[in-house]
Amino acid sequence: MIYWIGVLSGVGLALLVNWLKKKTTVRWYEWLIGALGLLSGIGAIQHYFGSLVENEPESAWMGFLVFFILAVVLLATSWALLRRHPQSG
Amino acid sequence: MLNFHSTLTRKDFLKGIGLAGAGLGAASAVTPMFHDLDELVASTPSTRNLPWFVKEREHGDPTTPIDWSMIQRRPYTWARMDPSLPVYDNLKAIGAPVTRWLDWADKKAEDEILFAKAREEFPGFEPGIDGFGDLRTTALTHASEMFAFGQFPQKMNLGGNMVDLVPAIRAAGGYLGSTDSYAGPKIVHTPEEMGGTKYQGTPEDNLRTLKAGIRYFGGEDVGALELDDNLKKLIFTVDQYGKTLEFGDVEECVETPRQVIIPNKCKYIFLWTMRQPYEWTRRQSGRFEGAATETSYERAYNTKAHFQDFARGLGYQMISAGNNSLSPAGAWAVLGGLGELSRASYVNHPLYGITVRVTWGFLTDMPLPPSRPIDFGARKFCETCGICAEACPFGAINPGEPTWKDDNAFGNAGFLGWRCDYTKCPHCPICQGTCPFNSHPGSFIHDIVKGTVSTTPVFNSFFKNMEKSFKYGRKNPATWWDEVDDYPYGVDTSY
Repeated sequence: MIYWIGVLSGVGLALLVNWLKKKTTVRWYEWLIGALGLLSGIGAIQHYFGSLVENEPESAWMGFLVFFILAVVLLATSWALLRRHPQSG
Repeated sequence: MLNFHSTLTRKDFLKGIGLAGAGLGAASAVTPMFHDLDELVASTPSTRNLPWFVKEREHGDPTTPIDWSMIQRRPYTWARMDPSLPVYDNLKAIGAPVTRWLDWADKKAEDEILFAKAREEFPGFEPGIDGFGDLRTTALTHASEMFAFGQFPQKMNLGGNMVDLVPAIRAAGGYLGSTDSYAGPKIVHTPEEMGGTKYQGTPEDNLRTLKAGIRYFGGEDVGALELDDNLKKLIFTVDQYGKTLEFGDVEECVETPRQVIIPNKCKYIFLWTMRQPYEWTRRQSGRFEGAATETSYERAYNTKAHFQDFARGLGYQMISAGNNSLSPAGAWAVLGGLGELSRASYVNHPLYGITVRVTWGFLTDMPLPPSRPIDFGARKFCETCGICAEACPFGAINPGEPTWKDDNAFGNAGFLGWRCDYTKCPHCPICQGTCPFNSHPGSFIHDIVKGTVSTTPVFNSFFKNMEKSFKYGRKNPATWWDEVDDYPYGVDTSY
């Protein structure tokens, strides 16, 4: 199960990166902000389920909220920066 | 169709793969254990699978500063004894040195403080019929006490007869009515008795063998020390049962009701740990420790007895009675790298925090390689944390600065640390469940925090506040029955 989640995530990420590269020229800090946002999103999910394994339901929700909000802000920033690029093609 | 031309031959390509593979293999072999080449060369044996954030220090230099000139051999002193403990009568009978004997009124007053604290922590908590909580918890706690500390039950059903076990064992020559002896149970034959020769290995091989043995019987982490004049100062002159502890030119450990003679050749110390069931450790509430602690004291003494005879079967002696019979329980453990000394006076282990119930040291004639003290930022964290001291309803844990002096009936002088005042500590279950280092490694965040704490103490105060905000630490005991699907024996052995 975890194997297939990993494979599908990897394929999805590769497709996203390829699509972005074709669509526009992504600046280094946009990659960085996007990557941090993605990591934070993955962190939110891992922390939630990891905390349930720890029998820490309150920590699970609080951590999920913190990392999820951070992920949304970073990904939205990255997306907003990308949208300001001049349209190519 | 290929549209480029390669200048690389197939042979070179395969050679490259081989070299890359060897490089990766070598890197992966050393990466988990060593931070640099010096550390690789100087490292203690690979029996210590320490997490990456743990640094090893020089021998004799733990994070707790020690002034050996202030330390002298001294007799064991019981800080206190209350009448609810099964060993109370035993200790009275043998005239053990106890600083504070409590009576039932004293104990009842302490119980009321503990019940009030439990009600405050867990609204709806009631002490129940025996001060441990509801009936399920009370039953679990009592059932956990059966052979705690290696003590035979006073009365036990044996084949239909309720037998007065302790008096029977004492009448037959068993001094304390317990399974515990310095030289172990001696049920197993030595190799010499069976016509063979003792196990011969290098010190490193010996430690690996002992690690395998102790883990098989329920222990976890191991370390070792070589007894020198300083370490000898930590050995009590008289143990908690009133026996004098002496060294002598004897072949085997001699134990009588008043004396123990340790062979001079037993100049190595084997150290090991055992942790408590985690979920119950942070749920125990009421008048005394509880199921997790009691069951661990049963298991640890069981493990100890099995292991002593395992070593006997290899041809060696493993000498120790109770887990602080020879020396203060945490002292050798800290010097041998099983953890750092914490504010609450427990040994703080890098993986299990202060849920480690025993850190036991055996004197042995089996040559062992000394392990190094460790530093994972725990002492530094204790300086700014103090959650345990805030939680203690008796003010037994020092909330202030560490001191050199022996300022209570139990503590040694000679180290700069926080000393729990054991005359005030009723062995309630609260502080042990509060420590941030206890965390189960489910979420990635604990690795990040422990890694940061080990190198960058500036965030310690923030992490303490996060510990509270995220509501880690103690849990309502009722949730164990209704919400937790606990591990067998209550211990997650995956870490």
